[in-house]
Amino acid sequence: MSGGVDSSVAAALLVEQGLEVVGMTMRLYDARDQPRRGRGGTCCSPAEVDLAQRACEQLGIPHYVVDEQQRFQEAVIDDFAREYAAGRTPNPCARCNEHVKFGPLLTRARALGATYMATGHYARIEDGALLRGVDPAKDQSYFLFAMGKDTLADVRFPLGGWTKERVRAYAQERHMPNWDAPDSQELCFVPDGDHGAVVERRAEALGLGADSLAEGEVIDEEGRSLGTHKGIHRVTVGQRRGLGVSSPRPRYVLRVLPEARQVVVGDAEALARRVLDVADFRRLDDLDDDTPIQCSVQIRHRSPAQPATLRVVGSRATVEFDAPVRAVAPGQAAVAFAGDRVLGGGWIESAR
Amino acid sequence: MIYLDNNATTSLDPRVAASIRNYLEGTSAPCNPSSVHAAGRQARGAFERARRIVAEALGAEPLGLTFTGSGTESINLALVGRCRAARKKGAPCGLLTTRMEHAAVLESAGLLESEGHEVHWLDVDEHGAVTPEAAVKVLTAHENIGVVSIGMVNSELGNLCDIKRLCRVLKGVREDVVVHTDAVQALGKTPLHFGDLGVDMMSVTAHKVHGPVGIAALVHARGLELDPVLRGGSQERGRRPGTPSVMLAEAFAVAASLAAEEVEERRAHTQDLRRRLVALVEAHDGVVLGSASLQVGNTVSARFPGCEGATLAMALDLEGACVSTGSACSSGVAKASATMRAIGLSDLEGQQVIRISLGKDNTAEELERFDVILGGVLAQMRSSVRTELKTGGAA
Repeated sequence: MSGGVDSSVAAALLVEQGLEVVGMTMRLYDARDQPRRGRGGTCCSPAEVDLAQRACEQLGIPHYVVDEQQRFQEAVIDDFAREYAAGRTPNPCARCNEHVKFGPLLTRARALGATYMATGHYARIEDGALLRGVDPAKDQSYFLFAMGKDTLADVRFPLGGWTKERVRAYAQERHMPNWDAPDSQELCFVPDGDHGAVVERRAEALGLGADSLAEGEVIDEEGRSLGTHKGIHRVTVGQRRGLGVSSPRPRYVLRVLPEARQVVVGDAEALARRVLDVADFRRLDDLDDDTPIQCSVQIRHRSPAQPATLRVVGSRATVEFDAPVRAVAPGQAAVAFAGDRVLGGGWIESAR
Repeated sequence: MIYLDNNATTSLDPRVAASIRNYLEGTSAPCNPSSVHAAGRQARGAFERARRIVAEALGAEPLGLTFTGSGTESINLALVGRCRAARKKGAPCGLLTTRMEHAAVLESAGLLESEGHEVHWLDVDEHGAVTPEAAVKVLTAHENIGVVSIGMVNSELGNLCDIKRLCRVLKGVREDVVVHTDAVQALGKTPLHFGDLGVDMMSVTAHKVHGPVGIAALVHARGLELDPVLRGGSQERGRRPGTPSVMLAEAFAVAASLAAEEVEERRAHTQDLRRRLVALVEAHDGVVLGSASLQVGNTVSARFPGCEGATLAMALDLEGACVSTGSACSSGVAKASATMRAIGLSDLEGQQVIRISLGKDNTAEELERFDVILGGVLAQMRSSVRTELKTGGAA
């Protein structure tokens, strides 16, 4: 329970069903010194923990706070810094789900004798399959592919069939303490939106070398220098603004070359990709090896899945889109769907 | 509920509760002992009566007893207040202590160090015991040590330190060294007589002996100069400003008197229960930490290999048994506590520790029920760990 309205309503729904419910909040990073901008803006701050505690008190269920700062640091924040320093665009929410929420937290729930663990995610689990949440604006199934098929049986998402609007109305009716807490917009460990500064701080602590994050050249596809960027970790494939390049026509980031610390820009058409190489692919459905599967593939949060052919071989996969897609960022997740059902997903290694 | 966390706090004794009830029902008169008028005089009378009773229970003089708001505050006043006062006089103002003390001591040491006071650390042996020889060595080597602070009973292990002997030895090296003992966990568990111990300062608190939370005392030599940690008034002879609570002082008086009267009885009772507790913990493959020969008689810190202490404590809580953990998560990264590290536990081992602490109200029947609960919870935890290993799930 983050202290936000979603997990609190999820808990309330389980209590309503007559289940024995235990609330648990993870302290993921030291938020004591971070400025707060409105209720519910970030998780893990003392105020958020307090909201979760109050919600549990109202529901009459026990509440515990567990410390997962070290694991979160290593599995999520350090990975975030390493990925950016290597010229990729990480997906920390999916990492957190895999390495923190549906790993150690679930283990703890089992150790406490829980039959299953529930969260406030907007996704559904039906007949052993992971499905999109019914609220298209809130659906979080894209971030959940890495939780693993075996885990699905031990997890419940009570809000999967709910819209955010209904969740808020439910919380308001019951005078829940966080009914009007704002939705979290940013990454929880980057509350001021300056992800570059977080990467720089961690990279320094990890000894990744200031060099890799120093400013570098912006070049075009012919290698001509067009300007200077403020560090490859501040750049994402498909980005148009803030490149420090003046050009009569729009220029987009096509590639990041970490060794040379160069960023290659070009026209919108040059962003188009047909084929993705996907590493560390997790199957959430029974998929035959090396067999083409017609499906749709999503490569970003809040971006529609596009028709494609998926071919899985072992833990690797290739995705061939029916029509070219734009702005494929290595390091992001590629998640395959059959309608609402998640077939599986992995991490984009490269795109052609 | 089976309450087995008496080192954290204790239940309110009905006789103490009666004193508070009596106060609340007896008077609604204004009650500020510092006021010169009739109402103030009446409050002063009751307050000083309570001071005399607490002092007598502790083997101290009333003029050498300063009421504070908590054990933590007493310790801060003792260490910070004494070292600062000594420094102003140009006297030795460094501190000598161990890494096994309560955070109030450790963090006061940190504050003093940041102010330029010397802080020296005394090593403990593998059982967590302080040896007089080691203390003498450090004290001899550092002339600037003005205050020595050694806990009488460690809150996590229940180790009892022979403060009387240690104090005699230290004073033999330097007569003017000021010795403080944190006796917060000792009161009510072992006979406690300030005069007999020979120390210069002693911290105690009411809520560890079935008194209310919110009142404590620093016992000290009469006339010992202490710089007040708080500013704002001349109460408690300038040592602790702030309007004192007559109600809490009276309740403390009852609790301290009962602790002094009943200490042998309470000790015999918890020692008997502790023997049963050790046997049942060991029967569940728990490793009891610390040395039996040092044990004050109510505390069992045990490690259950493969079981995280925090989770075990939660699981026990869900079954109605209250214990605490031996790790300090508040610092950020979950580490073994200072005490557990001091006796040589790794961070991983330290995270597997739970502390079970007995009190006068616990019964053998409660321990029988705890035995069943612990067995069930451990079986559940151990099988969940095995499931994880089998399915190759996240560690």
